[in-house]
Amino acid sequence: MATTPAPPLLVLMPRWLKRALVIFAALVMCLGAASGQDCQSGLGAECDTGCVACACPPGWPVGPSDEYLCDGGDAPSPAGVTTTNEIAGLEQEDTVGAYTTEDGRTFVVPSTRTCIYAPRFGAVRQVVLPMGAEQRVFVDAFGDAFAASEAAKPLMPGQGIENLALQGQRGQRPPSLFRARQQAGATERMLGAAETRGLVGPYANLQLVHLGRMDGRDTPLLIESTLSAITWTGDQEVQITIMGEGAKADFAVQEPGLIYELQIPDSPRLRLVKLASASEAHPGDEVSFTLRFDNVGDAPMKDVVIVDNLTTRLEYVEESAESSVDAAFSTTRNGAGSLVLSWRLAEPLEPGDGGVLTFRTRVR
Amino acid sequence: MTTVRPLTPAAVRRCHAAGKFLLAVGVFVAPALPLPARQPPTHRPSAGAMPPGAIGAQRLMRGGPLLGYTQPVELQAPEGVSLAALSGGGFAGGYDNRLLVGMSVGCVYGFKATGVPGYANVEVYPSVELIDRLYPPPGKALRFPVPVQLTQQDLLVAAQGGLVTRVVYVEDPKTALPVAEGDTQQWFEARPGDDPLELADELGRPIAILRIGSRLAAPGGRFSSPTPLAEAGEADPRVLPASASLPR
Repeated sequence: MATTPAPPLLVLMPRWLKRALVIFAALVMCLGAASGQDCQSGLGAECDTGCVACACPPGWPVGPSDEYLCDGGDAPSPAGVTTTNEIAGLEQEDTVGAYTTEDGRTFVVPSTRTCIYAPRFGAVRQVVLPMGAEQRVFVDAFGDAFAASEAAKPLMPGQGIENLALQGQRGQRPPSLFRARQQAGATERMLGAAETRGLVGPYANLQLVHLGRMDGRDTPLLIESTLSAITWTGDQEVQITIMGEGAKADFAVQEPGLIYELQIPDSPRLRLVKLASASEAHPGDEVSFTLRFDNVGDAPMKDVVIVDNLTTRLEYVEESAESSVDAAFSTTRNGAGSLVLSWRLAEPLEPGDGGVLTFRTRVR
Repeated sequence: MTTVRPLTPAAVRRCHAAGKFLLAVGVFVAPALPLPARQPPTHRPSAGAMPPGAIGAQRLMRGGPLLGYTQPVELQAPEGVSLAALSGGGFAGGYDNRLLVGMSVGCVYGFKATGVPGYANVEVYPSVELIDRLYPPPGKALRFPVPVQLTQQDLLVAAQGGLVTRVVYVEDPKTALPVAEGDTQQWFEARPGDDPLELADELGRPIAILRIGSRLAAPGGRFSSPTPLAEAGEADPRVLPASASLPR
């Protein structure tokens, strides 16, 4: 006698019970995703309630995320690429990468999310004067607060403000006087010397930056500086276009930096390493950045454009951008109030060639 | 094994109706449930006009890693003003215009400021109430103290008999203004009818309350003694030896 296998339990369930189970599973998934959205990286025993899937280094204090400048990811709404090959939908703290496949499809990939410690403080002041009151002058008019002690206010000695302009100084020092004192060629020589000395900062005294070669002894320093650079990066990571197309970014495990390549055979590959001089700073401090780029592929590349979008709290120091190769540097203002720095290399980049870009920023 | 299914048309319609009803309830309920988790943190019923110490005590009752932690706080006054911390029965500490001390959440600390321009013989008694703490990386607490600024205008108003309340908050980086911070931190004026604590809670996370204008040095004798974190007379209290650590 042949026995038929028992049907699975799911088949035997009534249809309304199946729907109820699906709804219950959806509710559980929605609740879990919502409670973990504001979870800051690094949570342990002191983790706030509601955080999920977080790990914290031992001894690391955990608190609100408002003391950190966070960059990376693509939340809450995803970014996209328009028909003109421009990234749209970027929000504050977003970091995405866009690339195009061989068959013409374009993808946008978010980066990891990184935070640095840079709190800024503000204050709300309220003054209450003794025996003060609001005096209603007219209906719906504002009242003025007055104080009884105002009449006894002593005058501060030795302080006076002269609002009259000095008429006698007008026109005695024409602007052309300073211009005429400058010698021809002096400025060019001074700038040339400064470029040579300041092109690579001491924090970037590495074989990779100078020669484009990886040295195992530099790896710990490179990792530390690269992480600092990532944390200071703004709304979007450095964007690379090769020959007019968006490039794909590859993460390397053995060495820091990103390698950008196109999805075609014999493609050029661009390695871009970003170094920062500090991982934490107070308002007013200057942070220098160094970008080392190399063509580590087997084909030359042209129309190389490197774009860096600064975060809101970083102010670009004017005339501080330098390049070791011929490049057209330009800045555009983004919607958040900071600048987007762009370098367009004048010459094609042969295999094995590279260069260094440096600029300075000031923390707001 | 036999499966019994309702084959009558009425039973089938009832099951379908129940399933559709559950599906409709789920469709409407599912988008609404995650909404409370996405809302900003609820403002607790505290007011800036509450007596010193009450807001910090309420903050302690809400829980968190606050007890036992010493938060570095740096008081900054204009040049020529001397600051001293109330410790025990008298004032101690460096007579400088910058003072770096350690405070605990929920406590109120008294200070004395002398040398206000134009009021050489007047002593002003500010008090600082710590209502929250910072969470810096390990070893970086002394590099990032909470700055509490006593401006010259505030000291003048207090010397003339007024009461100045400053609620210091940590700025929300998502709503930070893209402007450079100068010598003085960004501050806003609260109108007479407004609650400065509520305004600060909208702009960021309130962390300390400064009150200037007390007539007495230690009203009620309920002030705590701050922990000295730097030697007196240093030009920059943030410059500390590498071995310096916070008392626990």
